[in-house]
Amino acid sequence: MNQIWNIVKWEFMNRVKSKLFLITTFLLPFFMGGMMYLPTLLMDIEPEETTEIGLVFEDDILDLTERFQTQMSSIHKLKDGNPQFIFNRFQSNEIALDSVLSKSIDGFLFIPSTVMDTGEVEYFSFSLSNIKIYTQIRRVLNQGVIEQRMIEQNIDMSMVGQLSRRISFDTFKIDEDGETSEGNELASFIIPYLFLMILFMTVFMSGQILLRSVMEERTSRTIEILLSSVTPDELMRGKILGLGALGLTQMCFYLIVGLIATEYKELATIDFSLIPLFLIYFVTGYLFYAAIFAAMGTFFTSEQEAQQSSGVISIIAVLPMIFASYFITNPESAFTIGATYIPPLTPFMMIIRIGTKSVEMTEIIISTVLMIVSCWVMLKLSGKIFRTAILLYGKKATVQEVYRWIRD
Amino acid sequence: MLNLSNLIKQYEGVRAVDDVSFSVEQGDVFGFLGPNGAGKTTTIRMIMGIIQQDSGTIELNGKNINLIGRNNLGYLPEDRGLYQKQKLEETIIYFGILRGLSKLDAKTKTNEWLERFGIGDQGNRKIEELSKGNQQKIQFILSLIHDPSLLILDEPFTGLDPINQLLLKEIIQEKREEGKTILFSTHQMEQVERLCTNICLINQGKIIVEGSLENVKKSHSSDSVDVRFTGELNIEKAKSFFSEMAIKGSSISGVLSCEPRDFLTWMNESVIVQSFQIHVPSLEQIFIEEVKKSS
Repeated sequence: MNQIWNIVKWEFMNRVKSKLFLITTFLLPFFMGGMMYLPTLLMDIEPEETTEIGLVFEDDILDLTERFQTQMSSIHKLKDGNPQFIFNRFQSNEIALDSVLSKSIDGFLFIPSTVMDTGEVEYFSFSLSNIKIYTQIRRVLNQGVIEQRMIEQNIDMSMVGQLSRRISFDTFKIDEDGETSEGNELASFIIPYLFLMILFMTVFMSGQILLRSVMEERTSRTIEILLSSVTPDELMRGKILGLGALGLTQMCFYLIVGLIATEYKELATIDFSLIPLFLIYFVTGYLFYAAIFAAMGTFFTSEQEAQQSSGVISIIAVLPMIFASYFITNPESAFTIGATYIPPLTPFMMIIRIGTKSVEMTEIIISTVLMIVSCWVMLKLSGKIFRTAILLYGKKATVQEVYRWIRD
Repeated sequence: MLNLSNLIKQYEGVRAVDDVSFSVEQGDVFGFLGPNGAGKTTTIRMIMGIIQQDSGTIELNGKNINLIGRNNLGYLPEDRGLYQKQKLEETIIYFGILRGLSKLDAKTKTNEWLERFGIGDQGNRKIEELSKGNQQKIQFILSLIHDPSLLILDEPFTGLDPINQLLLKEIIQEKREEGKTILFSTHQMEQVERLCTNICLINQGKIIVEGSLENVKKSHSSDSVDVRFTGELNIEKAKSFFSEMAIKGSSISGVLSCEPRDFLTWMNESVIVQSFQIHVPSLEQIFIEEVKKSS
C-alpha cells in the first residue's frame, strides 16, 4: 500500500510539473473557446465592402424589384452607414454573366416574371461560399414576394406589413419540480457537448500518458530496476491512480473554466449538483480505459505502434461525440438508451444525457453499477497481462500467449 | 548467507533453470557465470522475487527470501535503464524511497553517493544528458543506496573507464568487508579472477562447475609444462616423463605423465634449470572448455 502511494506521488508530481502538461491544460480551454466563438464572432462583424449584384427581370415586376431594393438598402448597411448592396439592372442573363466574368459585379439575380406563381428565383456567382450574402438576399426577396402577392389580392398596402409580421417564439425549460425557466437552444446543446468534450479529453489524455509511461519504463529497461522494489501489481495500481489523479485535476480545471465561461456568456448557470456525477463517470471511465492502456503499454515497443492502436481505441470512444447531436436532440430514443449501456460508451453517454437532463436516478444507479463491474473485470484482465508481459521486452506477445495469461 | 536449493523454472516446457543449488557466504563475492541464455537472469530474477520459481527454495540468512522484505536486496540488472527525462537526484531519491528509505535519508545518501562518484554537482541534470558511464554509476547507486544485505551485480563494469572500474571495485570490497553477501555476474573472466573467491558456472539451466576459484583452477590444470635449461640433456630419459613432448634447442614443452615434482628433481640433477612453468588455465579457458563440453 505504501509503495503504491510512493508511485502515485511520483507519477503525479512529475507530470503535473511538466511544461507540456501545464501548457496543454491551460491553453486548451482557450483554444476550444476560440473554436466555438470565433465563427459566430466573425459572422457578426459588419461588412466593410459593398457587394454589387446584378438584377435581371422584366418590367412587369418592376414594383417588386423596386421594393426589394429599397428594403435591402435600409436593412443591410456597411459600417459607415452606406448600403451594403448596390444593384444594377441588366437586360439579359448573358450580359449579366459577362459582367460577373469581368468581375464588375459579384453576382446576379434572375427574377422571372413567373416568380409570383412559382416562387422560383436564380442566383449566380463565382463563389457561393459566402452563405451570408445570399441568405440576406433570399430573406428580403422572400418577404417582398409575399407582400407583392398580398397587394395583388387587393389587400391594403398599410395592412400588408402588419399581416406578414413574424411570430415571436420563446422556449422554456421545465424541471422536475414543474418550475419553468427561460430556455436557450444553444445552451441546451452546448452544455452536454462541453461535458462530453471535457470527459473525453481528460480520460484519453491520462490514458495516453499511462500508455507511454508504461512503454517508456519497458523500453528504457527502468522496469527491471523498479520491479526489484515493487511488485507489478503495485506498479500498475500506482501508475493508474497517479495518472488518474492527474486527469482528475485537469478535469476539475476544465470544468471550472467551462462553467465560468458558459455562465459569463449567459448560456447556463453553474449546477454544482452535477459534480458528483461527473466524478463517478470520470473515475469509472478512466479506470476502464486505463486498464486497456496499461496492458497495451506492455505490448508495444515503438511509439508509432502504440499511437496507432490507441487511435483505434479512441475511435470507439469518439462515437458518442460523432453522434452527439443526435443523442442530445433525442435523449429518450431507444438508440440513445441502448448505447448508454455499452460499457466503453456508458460514461460518455451518461454525461451527454445528464447534460440534457433526461436521466432518472435509476439509470444513474444502473450505469454506475455496470461501470464498476466492467472496470473490475477490465482491471483484472489487464493485471494478468501486465504482470507477465511487462518483463518481455524483446518479443511481442502473440494472441495465444495473451489468452493463456488471462486464463491462468 | 544466500542459499538456493533445487531451483526450477520452466517456460513453455523448457527448463530455463534446472535444479540449481548453491550458497553464497556472507562477506563473499560469488561469481555467477554462464554463457548468454544459460539461465542466469532467470535465476537472479527469482532471487529478487521478480518472478516466482516453479519449485525449490531461496533463503537469505536462513529465512525465505519472499518473507524478509525486498528492502534487504539490491540489484543492478544487466538490462538496465533509467527515466531519461528526469533529474538524476530526484530519480535516485525516488528509488531510495521505494527501497524503504525516508525522504530525508534518501536525500542525504543520494548526495553522499553522487559526491563519491564525482558527480555531486550534476544532481539537477536530466539523466539523458549524462554520459553512458555516468548513467551506469547512477544505476550502481540505485542498487546499494538502501544498504542491502544481499547485493546482486550483473555486469557492473561495462561502460566504465579504468578509474571508475577501480572505484567500483573498491566499493565492492568495502561491502564485502561489511559482511554483505554479493552475487557477481559477468562475462569478464579477469574481473572474476580478481574479485571472487567462489564461483558457479551454469549452462542450459544446469550447474556445470562449482566451488572455490582455487579448486576449480586446480582441478582444471593439466600437467602441461614449459622448461628452459642449459647443459646436456638425456633426451631419451626426458621423454619417458612425458605423454607428449616437443623439444626445441634448450626448451621443452609438453604434457607430463608423472608428478611435476619428480620431473623437476630429475632435471635439477642432470642440467641447470633456468625456468620451469606449470600451465594453470585461465578462468576464460575453463569457461570455454566446460561450456563446450556440456553443450
